[in-house]
Amino acid sequence: MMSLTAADVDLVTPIREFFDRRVTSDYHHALLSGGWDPELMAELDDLGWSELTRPENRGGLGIDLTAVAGLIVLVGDRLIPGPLVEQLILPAYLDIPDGSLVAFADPAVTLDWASSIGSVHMESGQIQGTIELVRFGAEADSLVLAVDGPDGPALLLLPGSDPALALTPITSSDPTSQYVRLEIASRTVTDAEILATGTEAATLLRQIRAWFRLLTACEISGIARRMLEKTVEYVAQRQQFGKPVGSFQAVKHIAASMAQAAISMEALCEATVSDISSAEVDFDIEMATWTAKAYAAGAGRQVVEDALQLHGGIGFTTEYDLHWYYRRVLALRTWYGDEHELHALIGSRRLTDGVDR
Amino acid sequence: MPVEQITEFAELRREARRWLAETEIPTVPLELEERFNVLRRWQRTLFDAGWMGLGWSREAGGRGLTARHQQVFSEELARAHAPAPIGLIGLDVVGPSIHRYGSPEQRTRLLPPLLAGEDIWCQGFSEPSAGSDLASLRTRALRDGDKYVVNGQKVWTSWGNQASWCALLCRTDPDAEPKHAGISYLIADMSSPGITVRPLVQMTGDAEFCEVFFDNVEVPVGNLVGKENDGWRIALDTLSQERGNYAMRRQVEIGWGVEKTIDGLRGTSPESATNSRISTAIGESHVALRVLDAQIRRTVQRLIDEEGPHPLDSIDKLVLNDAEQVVGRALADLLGPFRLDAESQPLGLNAAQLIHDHYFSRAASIYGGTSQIQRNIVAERLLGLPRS
Repeated sequence: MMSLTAADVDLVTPIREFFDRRVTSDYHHALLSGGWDPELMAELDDLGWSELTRPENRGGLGIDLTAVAGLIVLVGDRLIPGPLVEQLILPAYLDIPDGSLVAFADPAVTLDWASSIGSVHMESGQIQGTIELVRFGAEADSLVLAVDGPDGPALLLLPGSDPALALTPITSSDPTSQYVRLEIASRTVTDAEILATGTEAATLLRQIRAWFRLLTACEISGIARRMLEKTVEYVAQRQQFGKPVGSFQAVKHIAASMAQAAISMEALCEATVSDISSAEVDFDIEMATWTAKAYAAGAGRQVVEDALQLHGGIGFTTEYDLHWYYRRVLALRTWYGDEHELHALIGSRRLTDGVDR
Repeated sequence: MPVEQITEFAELRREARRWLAETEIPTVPLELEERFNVLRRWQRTLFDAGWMGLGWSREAGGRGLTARHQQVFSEELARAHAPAPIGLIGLDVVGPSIHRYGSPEQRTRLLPPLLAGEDIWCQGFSEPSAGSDLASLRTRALRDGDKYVVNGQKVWTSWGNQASWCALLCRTDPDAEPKHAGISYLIADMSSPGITVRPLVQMTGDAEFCEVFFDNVEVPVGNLVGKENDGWRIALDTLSQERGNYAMRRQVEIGWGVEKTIDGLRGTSPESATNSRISTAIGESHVALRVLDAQIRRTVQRLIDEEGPHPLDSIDKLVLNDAEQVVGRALADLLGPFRLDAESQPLGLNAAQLIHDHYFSRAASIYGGTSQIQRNIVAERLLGLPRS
């Protein structure tokens, strides 16, 4: 596992124990077949999930996001459905009412498909537009919306149930999240609904997106570790030709490559978190999180594909649970950029401004 | 990491930055002899300024700090686009083993000139029939009074033609079972009578890779490292060092190549930032280097904790291999058909250097135990899968 500091262990241990107790095998299967359970999310919140990162002056515990990365590794490892990442990142940066479930309507989840995913424009206090994919858009109590305003980006906080927001559910292939298409024909925004504008909004968006990228990489890393463990267990017991398949070199080499990918991904997530929290070096957080996500997207897919291969036929069935991990990784790798999108972005930044991390 | 340690490293970093800013950074020529001379002088400059062997004891010519201090300095070298010193095999592979297992006399006699770049070392491990299957090596060393008499042949002895010393694995007990129990670790003076070095030119164009023949070569018993027939344990340590320290040094060198390429593209082809093929190759290289950096940080922690050889060393070797090969291939591919003209500089790229580095990257999955051997180690010793 990611090497955790004492503070991380204090955070992770009770949540792990909660998952051990609460997310039994049958319940987990039911969850993953049906999406997610608001009840589970509410229980997590009672344990203080969304209070962890909310600043102390807004009634939270004010724990740094770098300290909760280990929690998201655990979420990946256990494949827990729900807006868990949202509930750690958004309250940390934005003043969101206590206890409310929040979704992030952000067209920047992709650059390569930006022209298709849509956007919302704000002019003279009116917003209109479409965003094709909003995670947990229908379930959330409130929606943080990234819009293009006359003075650059702005961040709004809107009630999820607002009738001016037309939310169309999507049948998604992601077993742990639900998505909607958001369409706003026209709506007036009040001053109270504007969280930030101009450079303040731009800075917040950069930070929030960086954290979505990094925590997504951490979640993939947790899944990769779980897939490695499951696969090693399986090939050590599954017999063919009178021997465990794990004794065949062809199988061993794939398992070793999975280990390389899972371990190096974990090391990169850990180093990125440590660089962000460390006073030792100052560096470009955005660039570092592009890098972590780019690697996790590529290596994460490799690990789940290898896991499928080594499980043979059983892994391909929906009676076995590999498909859930596989589909989750395929979903996560697209969210805020896969390796193709991010390699080009990273290279382009390196070629223009000399930042070296 | 405790706060005072962070401050200590931050202080070292500041000191290194200051020194590097005031020091003339050499340009590294591609031609082997010239490259060697320039880098040897550079190593001497680093040594005189106290930057060599930060993690080695003072008796060995070092500064008595830790491997992490050495890594911080390596990071600063990379940041300053400065080359790594030349004596890789000595500094990063063999030296640390002598530092750990050698006698006090061996440490004080051999290690300071190694750090200073006066003595280049080579590693007499591989043989024509014993590459990854190192334990089946056949070079014999027969004890004769106060000396060993060595006969046999080594191959892929990097820098054998430049080296003053060779860390030599020999069979001292031909009947030992298992085979690795009859191997000793000797230090041979490369100017000894009976040693013939035949450089082999590799596809990079460098004659780095040598054959070394031993014909009744006498090695004093005082040059035995550790005990007789106990060389295997030290050899494993050496190979594990290869996966840690050496990887750190290669990180600096690969990073240096990427920086030079970016400099060239920026200076000559500012439009390259918007060319997706070019930016993708640079992005891929950047990511591969960061993955290597993250992996090495964990390795350095294991070195600081003095954990000794561990199956995770094989993961390090595989990660290094990927970084070498991803970067080598991605950058050389930017040459397109211009790779056919090694003298060309398309888009500001240095064709000769990129072709050289691409070819060299192919060695990474062969030397020090092939990737296939590393995967066997990972599968059996790290993942606990049954033996074939």
